[in-house]
Amino acid sequence: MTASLIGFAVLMVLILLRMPIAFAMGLIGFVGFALQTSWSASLSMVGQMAFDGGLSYTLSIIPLFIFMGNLITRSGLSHKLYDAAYSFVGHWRGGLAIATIGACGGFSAVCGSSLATAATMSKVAMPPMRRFGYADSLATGAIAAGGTLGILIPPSVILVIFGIMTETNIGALFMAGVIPGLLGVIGYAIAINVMTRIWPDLGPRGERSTWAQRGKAVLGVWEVLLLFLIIIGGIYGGIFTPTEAAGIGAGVAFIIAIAKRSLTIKTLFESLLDCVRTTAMIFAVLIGALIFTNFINLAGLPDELGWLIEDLELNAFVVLAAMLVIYIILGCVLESLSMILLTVPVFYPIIMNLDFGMGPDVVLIWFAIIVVVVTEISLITPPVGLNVYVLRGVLSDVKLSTIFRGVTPFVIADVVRLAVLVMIPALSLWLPSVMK
Amino acid sequence: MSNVLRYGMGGLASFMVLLMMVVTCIDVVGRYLFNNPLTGAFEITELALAAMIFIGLPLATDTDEHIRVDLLDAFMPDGFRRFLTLVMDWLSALVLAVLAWQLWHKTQSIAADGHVTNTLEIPLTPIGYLMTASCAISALVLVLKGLEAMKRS
Amino acid sequence: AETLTLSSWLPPTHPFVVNALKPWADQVREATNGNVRIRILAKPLGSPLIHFDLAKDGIADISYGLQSYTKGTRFEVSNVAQFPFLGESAEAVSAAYWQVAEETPEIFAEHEGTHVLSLFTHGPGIIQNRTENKIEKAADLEGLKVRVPGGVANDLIAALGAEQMLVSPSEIYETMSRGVIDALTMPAETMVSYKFIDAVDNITQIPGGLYNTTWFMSMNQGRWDSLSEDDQKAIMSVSGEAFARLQGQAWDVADAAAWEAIKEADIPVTVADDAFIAEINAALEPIEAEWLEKAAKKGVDGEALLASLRAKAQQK
Ligand code: NA
Ligand code: NA
Repeated sequence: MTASLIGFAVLMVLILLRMPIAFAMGLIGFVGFALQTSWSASLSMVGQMAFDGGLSYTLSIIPLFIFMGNLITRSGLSHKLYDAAYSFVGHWRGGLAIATIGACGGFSAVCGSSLATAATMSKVAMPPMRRFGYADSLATGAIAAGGTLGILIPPSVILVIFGIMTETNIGALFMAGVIPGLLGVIGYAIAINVMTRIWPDLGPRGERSTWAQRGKAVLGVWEVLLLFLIIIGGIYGGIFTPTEAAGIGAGVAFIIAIAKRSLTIKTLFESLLDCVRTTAMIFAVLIGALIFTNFINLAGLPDELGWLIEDLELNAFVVLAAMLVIYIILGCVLESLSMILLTVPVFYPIIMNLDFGMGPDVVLIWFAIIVVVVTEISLITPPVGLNVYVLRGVLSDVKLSTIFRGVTPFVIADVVRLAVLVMIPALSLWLPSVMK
Repeated sequence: MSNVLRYGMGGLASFMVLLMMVVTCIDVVGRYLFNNPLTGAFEITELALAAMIFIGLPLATDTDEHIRVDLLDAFMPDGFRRFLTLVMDWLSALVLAVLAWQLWHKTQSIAADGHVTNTLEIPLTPIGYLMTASCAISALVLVLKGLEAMKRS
Repeated sequence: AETLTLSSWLPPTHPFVVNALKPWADQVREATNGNVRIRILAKPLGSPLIHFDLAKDGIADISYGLQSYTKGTRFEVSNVAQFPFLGESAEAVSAAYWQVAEETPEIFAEHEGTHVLSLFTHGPGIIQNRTENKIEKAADLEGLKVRVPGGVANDLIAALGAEQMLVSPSEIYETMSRGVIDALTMPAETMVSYKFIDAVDNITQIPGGLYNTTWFMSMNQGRWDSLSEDDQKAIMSVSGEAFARLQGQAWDVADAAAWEAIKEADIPVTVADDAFIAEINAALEPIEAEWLEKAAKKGVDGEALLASLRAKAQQK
């Protein structure tokens, strides 16, 4: 245990001193492993992990879902999603912010990443909210929070990685994310409603649309709907596996983009290049985490934590609560991917051995959703909330403190949702059980 | 250097993404419409992904895509922050160099064992050498970036 | 006392881990009077595919896995126990495999860089399918999408006219229940451990097995050499054939329980008749010939080796 804790401490120091997380994990993992075995064994280990980590068929899902999201944005469909949501709720109090949440939910259904969702929506939703005199805090808060839905509503890069790490069925994980994701949309809408009831100036009403306008707006997003139905329907109709769904989804998005004449060689190249860079970055973190967790595993942290919990005879829910506290603390410093890669290998064997009154395979599905929701919170909490940083990058005239102030009501909504999901596992588990 | 990375390697990596997409689509459509899946689709996808990642690594490194925490930046004097970045980048370069060295070793042993993929029997040594070169180039990119930053300040 | 790390990739609840690996770890401790302890790691140090290299490179002290996971020309003679019709009992086939290995230095040579602690197989492979039609002859396999386990079985399934599908074990259930694959071939035990019983409509049993898989349990050579001679002897007294039998019993018990479950679930079982077996043998011929050639290149009389394995597997 001591070795692992020292390893974690040094890792945190290096990360805080601006070392890229991927390389910091690789370095500490390499040195730590060598000290437990030998330098030659550790050298072989890092080579082996880099080689093996790169060759994974299932992970091809990552670039393809990212590429799909890029194509949808290029096709102008993210704007249309926003228009559709606006036509229904724009005239409500805080309606534009609620429309933003709705559009984020819709975009999440065809995009696997939260950062991409937040970045896309900041370009789409910020200008109209400014035009209607929305407070920057509410406007940016809604985008940052809505963006977090990207990793919960399927498809989701994080759920794929969780599935691979724990050998849990990825299709089932995707289905499990749907209801909690919709709950997130509802929770955020309620938060906006409460805020604008108390301070009406934060978010004035927009214009009411006629039913004809609404009909037209909804028809404008049929491609997104089609794409989502193809992905989810294809997985559940037995036409393809979740991994293949990413290739099919990208292919259909490609055809949509061509049909809409929204692709030039230049924009296509840029979409691809962005996808390549992001994927390479994700894999660097993945390989770094493989090396680091090998050290932690050899140092005996998962074993010893397990024994500790056994000895203390802790209640399963107390253990889960302790884990959630760890996630919230880690989430202040780390982003979602590194956090999941570092903790899930240690936590999931423990969770599987605890008695939550359900079978071990469904426990993991439920746990996955809880972990994703808690890491969604980390994306918007200070001091390091990547979604907030993304927004700050796109909207350089807004102060960081304004955005963090703006996300506060959404964090409260998230915490409430987390508690509800922990208390009512059926919210996560019902859909995968009926879709079998 | 940047343009070579961007257009040469970027183009190659982009091709790999399209390849993965097309191969999967052909495989699935072939399987369902013509009951004739694409032989080895699995292997092509796996190798294309590996190629894409490792061609992409120097690109991501060049544009500083790697996640780092800038939490303490506000509390650091500018000069110190730059110095720290330089140290950490060179330390990262060292990690990448070690990876390159070990990937080269790994590739040698793969060559000796004659590793090939299951169905199409594609040899794995080229991808091994690609991984080796990618990590070495990425390390070099970081070293050069550090030198440039030093020249500027 | 020495502690040896063992990287294990099967789930901790798997019969192999519970009924073979853990008891063996206890036996090693007893046999060496506590000098040597085996520590089964909480998680594997890499994917199943690289487990031989883990032991060879000393990343883990001990590992186990399938030789067929290592691609290339390293394991060829060792593949002898992948052929069909070896026998119904994993214990008998495993013991026979170890016995022929002891007479065939080339098999140990293929595991160079490691000290081989044991060699073994699981139970006989059966065909599990979800299509309405029973599989009673080679023609019934024509065009079916069959998930293959690697090694000789891949070639055999293809030679019988089916489409090979590569699906990772954790995705088999889903791909089968959704019709992405029509059938698979694995030992009966998977009906329970992977819950295939809910997804499979028909079973075809091939007496002696449609295929088998060869497994190793190896220890890093340098680490092995560092142990005292007494400890080495003590470890081998509970390894080798003893472990091959111990783990074979674990598979046999699991297979028997699965056949009970199949009976209870009323899943029709077809036993391959002589005509089907003749078809399998015909499909096997070129595969066997190719293997004989590879074995000959390494200086081994494959025909004699295979005959010896089959004969030994008939004895208990
Ligand atoms: Na999503
Ligand atoms: Na945070």
